[in-house]
Amino acid sequence: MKLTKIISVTALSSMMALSVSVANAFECKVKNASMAKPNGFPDRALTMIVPYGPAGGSGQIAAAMAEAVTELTGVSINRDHKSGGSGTVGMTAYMAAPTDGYTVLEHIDDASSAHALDSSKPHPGRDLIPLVTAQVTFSQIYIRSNETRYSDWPSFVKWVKAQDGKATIANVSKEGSMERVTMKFITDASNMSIQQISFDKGAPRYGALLGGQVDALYEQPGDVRKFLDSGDFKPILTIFNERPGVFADVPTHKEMGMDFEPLLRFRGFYVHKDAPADRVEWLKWAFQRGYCQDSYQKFNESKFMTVIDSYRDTEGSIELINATIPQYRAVYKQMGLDVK
Amino acid sequence: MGKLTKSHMIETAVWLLIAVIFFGFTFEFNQPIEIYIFGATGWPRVVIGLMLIVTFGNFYHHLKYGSTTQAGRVGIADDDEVGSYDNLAAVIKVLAVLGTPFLFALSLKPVGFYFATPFFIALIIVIFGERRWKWILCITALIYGLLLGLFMVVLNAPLPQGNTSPFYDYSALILRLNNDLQQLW
Amino acid sequence: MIENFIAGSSALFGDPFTLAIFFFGVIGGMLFGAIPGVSMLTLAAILLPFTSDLSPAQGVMLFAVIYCTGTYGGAITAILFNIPGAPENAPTAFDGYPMTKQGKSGKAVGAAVLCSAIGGVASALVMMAATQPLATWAIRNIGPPEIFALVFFGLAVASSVGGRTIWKGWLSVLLGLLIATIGQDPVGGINRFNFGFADLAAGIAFVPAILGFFAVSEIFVQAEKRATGTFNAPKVGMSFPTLFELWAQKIAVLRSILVGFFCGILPGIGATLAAFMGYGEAVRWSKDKESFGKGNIEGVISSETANNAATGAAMIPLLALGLPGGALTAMMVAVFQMHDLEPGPLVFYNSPDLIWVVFAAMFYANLSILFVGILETKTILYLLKIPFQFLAPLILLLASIGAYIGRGLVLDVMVMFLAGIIGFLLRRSGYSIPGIVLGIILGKIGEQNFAQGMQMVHYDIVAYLSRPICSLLILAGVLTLGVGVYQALRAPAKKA
Repeated sequence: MKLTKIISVTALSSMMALSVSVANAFECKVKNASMAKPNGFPDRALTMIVPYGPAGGSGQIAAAMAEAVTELTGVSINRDHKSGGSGTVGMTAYMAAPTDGYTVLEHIDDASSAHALDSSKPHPGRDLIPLVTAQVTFSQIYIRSNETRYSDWPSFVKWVKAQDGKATIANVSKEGSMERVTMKFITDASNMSIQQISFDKGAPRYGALLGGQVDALYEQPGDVRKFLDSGDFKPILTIFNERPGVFADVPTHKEMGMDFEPLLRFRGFYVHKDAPADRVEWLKWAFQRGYCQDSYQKFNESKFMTVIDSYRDTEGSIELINATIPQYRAVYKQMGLDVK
Repeated sequence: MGKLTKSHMIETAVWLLIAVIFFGFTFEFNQPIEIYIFGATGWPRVVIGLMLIVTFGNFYHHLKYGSTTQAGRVGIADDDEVGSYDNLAAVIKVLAVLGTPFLFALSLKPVGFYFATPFFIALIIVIFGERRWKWILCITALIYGLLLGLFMVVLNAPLPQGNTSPFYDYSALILRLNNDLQQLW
Repeated sequence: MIENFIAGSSALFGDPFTLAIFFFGVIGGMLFGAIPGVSMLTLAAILLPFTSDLSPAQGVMLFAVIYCTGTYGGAITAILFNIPGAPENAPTAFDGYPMTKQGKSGKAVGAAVLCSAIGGVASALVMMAATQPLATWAIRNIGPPEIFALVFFGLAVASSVGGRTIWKGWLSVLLGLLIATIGQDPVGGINRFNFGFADLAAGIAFVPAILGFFAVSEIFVQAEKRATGTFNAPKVGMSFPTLFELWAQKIAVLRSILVGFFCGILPGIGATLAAFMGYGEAVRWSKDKESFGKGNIEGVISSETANNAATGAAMIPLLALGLPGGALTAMMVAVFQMHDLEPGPLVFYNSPDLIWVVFAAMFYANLSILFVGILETKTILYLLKIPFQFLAPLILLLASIGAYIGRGLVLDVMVMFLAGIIGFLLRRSGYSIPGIVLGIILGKIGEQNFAQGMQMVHYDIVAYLSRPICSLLILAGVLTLGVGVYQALRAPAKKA
């Protein structure tokens, strides 16, 4: 009881420190606080198609952004969660919806990797117009804080090698996903063999590490924040080119001698490329300015999304997408997948 | 042939057909998964295999005992006074009941909920035997109003809007009216 | 604990708005549970976006209350219309609907009211006392191998009730398992059995399947009876069971509380398995096995006590670990997250007041079933008086909306009507519709946990079975299965 209290106090103070630094650093890139509605658009609620369920990372960012945009513009946004098929079903439904600007889409980097594998799938930077990318984050490897067999990355690698392929790590259950591709990079670069256990939902994945069913966990920090704050998990490796301030004592993969470009998780909002130009301009303003709303910033902070720069406007998003697709395509070819 | 009837043979054939079709389709996705030796096909093929074995057990039971219920079974929820299908009207009626909802579901993507629903309500009422047109109109309007009131006005549920003109425009109109209505309070 | 409970109660009753939400949840859960075609999940899915306007305690409390009263409400339609409101009410229909046909609906509903309340209140009490220690135990001792073993045992039990023979019981379950493999595989995300339809990558969700098999197929059966002239109006009776009748069932109630609680605490399985196992155990221990399925009140009692006993238990992994046990508790996670909260070990330290408002609300919600339930049931009975040609389109449309709203896919509406047609055809042939549904629900959980378990033990069966809880459950499943097969091959059959 006492220990937990101490931990939560520490976590709380570090959170406060973080929020102070962010409050100082954050500067809204969109200067106009308002924008006239083009020919009365929108005169009814927008529909936001979210290709994932309401409880996951996408569901939460969709809720936070919808709230921010409504606060800003007074236009309500109905979220329509079309989950399933790793985001493909929602994307298909979106592409079939009318292109009048009343329907917008939330999607993640999976849309880019899906296009990299099969170019008949929509290109999120060409077939869609990115309104804003509102979360960009990196991955980490986690262990239990009370783990006694290893305590940091070098001792973990040593222990894994000694297990002769029997050590386990919890990961997502989609081949070719950012998570599984990165794990392949890591195992190849550190020359170890580890059994990945696939979980398609977050909660059981975290439960498996918490309950000692697996030895380590691959995840993004925002998703396991509660376990970091409670002191149950600790990161031992950051997969990013530099050490983010909050994780200053965790080494990066490059420092540990692994030479690959990190793949990032990013979540953003899109509209169909055929939507009327004046409406697109208004939507861009609403979503980019929505990013600056206090409520949205508070949300991003709580998800560790202010640790690195999470914001990309339309051009920045297209750049990010255009850099990501060839990266995946090269990996898929190397993995021997059927790239179309 | 024991107590085997024609319907038992059909029943067995249907199960065998399901097993064969699904087994055939497993070759479509028979690719290895790097981290799992049983791959994507392991589990479904075991299920199909078990299905095959149990189908033979079921066949054996029919052969030996016919349609009798096995002793010690509980919770059997069938109420089976099967109706007689001796007149054509009854057959058509039942087929209409089975088919209409499916047509409604098919229409949701292109036409949308808002436009398709009143027609569906009226059609079902007619198929179920109501012929007084005043009642048909009134009850259709009542149910349509009730559903719109609850799911659109009160709960703002995202229902299918359709994606072809003019049906989508009708949905847009209804939603705009809803928006105006909600602005009032 | 008592102080916390009093504090939670006064927070609940002290604020008129919170109290209003509580009553909205009680009535809403019962209504949506008891109206054929929609379920508590429909209401919850629709309400989810609006909870951001409530305080965290109000939001979570609302869902917890809907969970308790919705689980009871689903029994009403199971008994009166043979349409279980949720899969956990399916076994209630086994004996509840025959009772209605015998003019004893009042006795069945009365038993459901009382036993739901008893099961729920008992489970709420245990939940308050045991959430923390039990959660810690479960997270260390129940891993993927144990969950798979439990699924196996659950399916073995399900196959032994409902079908006319064990073969038909298993064919029903296997059909469900096969349907569950449609969509992406749980290890590699590879598309299976798409048959050329892109939307099938999303898989077959269980909500439309339940609505189709139970609600839609019942409408079809009624329509057929009208078309072919074999329709008999159900007799409505409102004579409630006597206290003596209920006292005689005390052992069944106690057994179901234990079964319900044990199943409910395990993530991902929850109340449905609880109800099936509660029913199955009642049959196993009964001296008069033959009377089950023909209107034995003990069947209703066992299933209804068990599923409400699971509601409190399901809150344990959710609140203590952040691990939801089913669709409704998963939505509660979303409610937490909308308020920048995460359910999990820290909730007990950061927001104890929230936890105790929720605990208190669940306690009173279960208690209120006793009073509001009886009143509401009398109202619901009037539904039976509405001419069927007017009730049918309403039920079909409510079911369509209920199927659509969960994932926003028209596919789900089609799946529902297709399931309705399959259910219509299978009903008269001695197959078990609840068996199919349980197969669909548990199929994916079973496959995923089997794969995870196998990966964890490196495909070593000995290591797998050396986990004591796992091997115990597998053994229980094999025994259930073995007894069934032995009876099928040896025991003489009786006339249908």
